Amino acid sequence: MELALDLFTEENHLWLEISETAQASAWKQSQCFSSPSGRWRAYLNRLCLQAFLPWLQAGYNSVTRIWPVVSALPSFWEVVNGTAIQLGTTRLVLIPSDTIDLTELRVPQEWLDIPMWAADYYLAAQVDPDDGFVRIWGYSTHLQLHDRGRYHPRDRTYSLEAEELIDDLNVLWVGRQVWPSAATRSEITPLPALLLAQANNLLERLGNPSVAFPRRALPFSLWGALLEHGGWRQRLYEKRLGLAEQWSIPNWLREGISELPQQIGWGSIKFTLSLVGSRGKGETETVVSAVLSRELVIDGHKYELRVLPQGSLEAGIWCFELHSLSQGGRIPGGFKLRLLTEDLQPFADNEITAETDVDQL
Amino acid sequence: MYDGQDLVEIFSTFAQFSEGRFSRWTPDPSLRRTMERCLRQQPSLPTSPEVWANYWHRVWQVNPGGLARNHLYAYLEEACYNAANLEWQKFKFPEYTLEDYFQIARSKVDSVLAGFDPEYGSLKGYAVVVFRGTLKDELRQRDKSVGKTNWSLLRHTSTPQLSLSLENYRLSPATIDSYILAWECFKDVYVPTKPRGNRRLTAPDGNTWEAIGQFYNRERLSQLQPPGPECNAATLQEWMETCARAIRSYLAPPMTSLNAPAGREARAELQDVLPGGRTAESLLAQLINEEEKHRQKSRQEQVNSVLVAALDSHICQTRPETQRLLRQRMLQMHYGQGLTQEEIAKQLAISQSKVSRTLKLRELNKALLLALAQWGKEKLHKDLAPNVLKSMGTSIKAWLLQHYGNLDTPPETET
Repeated sequence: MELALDLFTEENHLWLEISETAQASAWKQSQCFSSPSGRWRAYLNRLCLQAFLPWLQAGYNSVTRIWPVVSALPSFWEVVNGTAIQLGTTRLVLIPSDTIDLTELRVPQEWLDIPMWAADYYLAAQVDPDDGFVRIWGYSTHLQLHDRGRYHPRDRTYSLEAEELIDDLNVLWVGRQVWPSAATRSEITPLPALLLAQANNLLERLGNPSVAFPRRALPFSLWGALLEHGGWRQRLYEKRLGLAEQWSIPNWLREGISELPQQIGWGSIKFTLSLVGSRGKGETETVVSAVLSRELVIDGHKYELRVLPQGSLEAGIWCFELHSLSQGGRIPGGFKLRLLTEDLQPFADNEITAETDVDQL
Repeated sequence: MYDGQDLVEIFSTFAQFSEGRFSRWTPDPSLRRTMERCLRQQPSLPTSPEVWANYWHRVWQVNPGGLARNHLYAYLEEACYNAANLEWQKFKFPEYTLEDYFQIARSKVDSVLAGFDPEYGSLKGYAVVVFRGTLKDELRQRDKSVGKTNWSLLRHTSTPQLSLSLENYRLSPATIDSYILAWECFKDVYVPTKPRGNRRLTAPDGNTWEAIGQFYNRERLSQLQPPGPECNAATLQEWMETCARAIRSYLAPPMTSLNAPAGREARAELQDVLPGGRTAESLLAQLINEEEKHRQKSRQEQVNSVLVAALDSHICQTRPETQRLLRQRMLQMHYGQGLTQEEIAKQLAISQSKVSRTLKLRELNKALLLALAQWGKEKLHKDLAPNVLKSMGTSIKAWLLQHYGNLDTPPETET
């Protein structure tokens, strides 16, 4: 909610309120990090997001969502400041800070030079938990930050002074309306692809939480390539937290599901498959198999997603099924089940569509 | 109307303060000479200070290092004073004088000159809006720093602000580098442990200082060139205390605008200042050109009518009728009488958030900006850069002040 202006509020800035309840919940959700500074960074980012996203959604009807997904945010905040929001095809990155002075906007290099991360606009947000507000006090574009900003090799950031920013967010919306084709991005050099062995090596090294500034420990191109891959970034976060491998499905089936995935709703069920009349045997055989399952709510209806191994675990062949959980429920026509790689990219033959209502997909 | 003598004064005198209060206008002889010479050469020059301000602004754009900047500083002294006085009447910050407010406003003159676009409004109106915004921000910042302990202040200072404070404290660049690294280590280790109530953080304990020390001694090897000697916890604590003192002294009044013209020092003459006398002459010729005068006037009228129409149509969309009338009244109170939302709430005996939700200043400004941007785009047949829109936004705020100010009372003629 927008804050009422008082004596000291500069009208050009956007002032948003953060309630004590919102603070308490953001604080609770920001505890799983390898260091106190990571927790504080996550806390500020979450406050900023909680204040800004509803305001954005209320005022601007285009589809707004967190990028890439809300559950991936901690793996960003563990190592880097900033939160991305996707607004249709436009990307904004919120850069929170809790300094009292508004001297500059300082953006970590990752948000500009990792091709998949780069955004159109970077918003400077001052977060003040004690006074209960978030203030968006300026913004800039990728183009301006990259080409005209100062680069600081020591902390690997690009910065622009307050005077070089646009302090009024209205300029952003009006500018997009009257000049939709205006360039916002500078050219970005692609990062080299890392080999799996190389990545594992780096993860081993940086996964140690005593490396306090992992962002500064490698040449940027290697570090950027490591972070750009969603799976490796997630792995880095978990290693720094001291968590064992969390997301390997064969491990889940062999050793049970660890706590972190359980928190977001994955469970395991013993599943009885009745293979009726297997040819050549002339009798009924029952196979008990472990299956992973997760309940999903789509459009107000409950569904279950099941992952079943086909043949032996080592074969690495999986069957994904979606069932309705409502009584006599079916899957409506037009539903699509789409699989993505761990960094949320599509691959060949990755989706199936229900042409009409079906029992399972 | 202004006569030649008034014009000379407006563009060549500076405000003089004594004991924090305004005392008199001091002339700058060299600025006075250039103004007098301009007026002698071209007796038919227009006598509106606004036209002259636009002229000097154009000269300044051609040659930013020249005397034009000083003339504009002189011209904007009054706007600085007005803005300072308005904020001073609202809130008298302890230990600050009116002159301190004036100096804070004055520190923004260069950015006013850089941001102003004469297509969409007057320099003075634009400047007052920028100065008041700056004053609000600076005072808020100082207000916030007062209640903080050293440890909270250190955690809430930005890197460039600390760096400027240390430079101001006359430390060597190498020392500043080590202090900043030590401060980064301090911030990384000494983190608040609760979601709020961190204004008065106490001093870190012995173990924390040890951890900061270890961290610093490890990081300095890769982050500092040369890495400097190893430091113990006590030294780091001392460094952090110095940093906090430097920040406080940087924030404390009086804040003088270091790069503002000092008045008497300016000795350059007009022809020295402009690259080739011809540029100066052609600009001056443009100024007296009838067509140009006409163009400026009609452009101002056009901008005005675009904004009036946009304002009317935006306000008309406020429903229901009672809400629309209430909004009109609040806009009048806010822009016309200069009341804050808090003061409006008090006068109308309603909550401040109700005032904010009714006024909807952001939406109003956006509607006006959109209208003016579309008009500008059609008129100029080109797309507008974000900086032009930013400048437009500020001019719109100045226009609103003037528009609502004029509804109540006729415009004051300055003397």
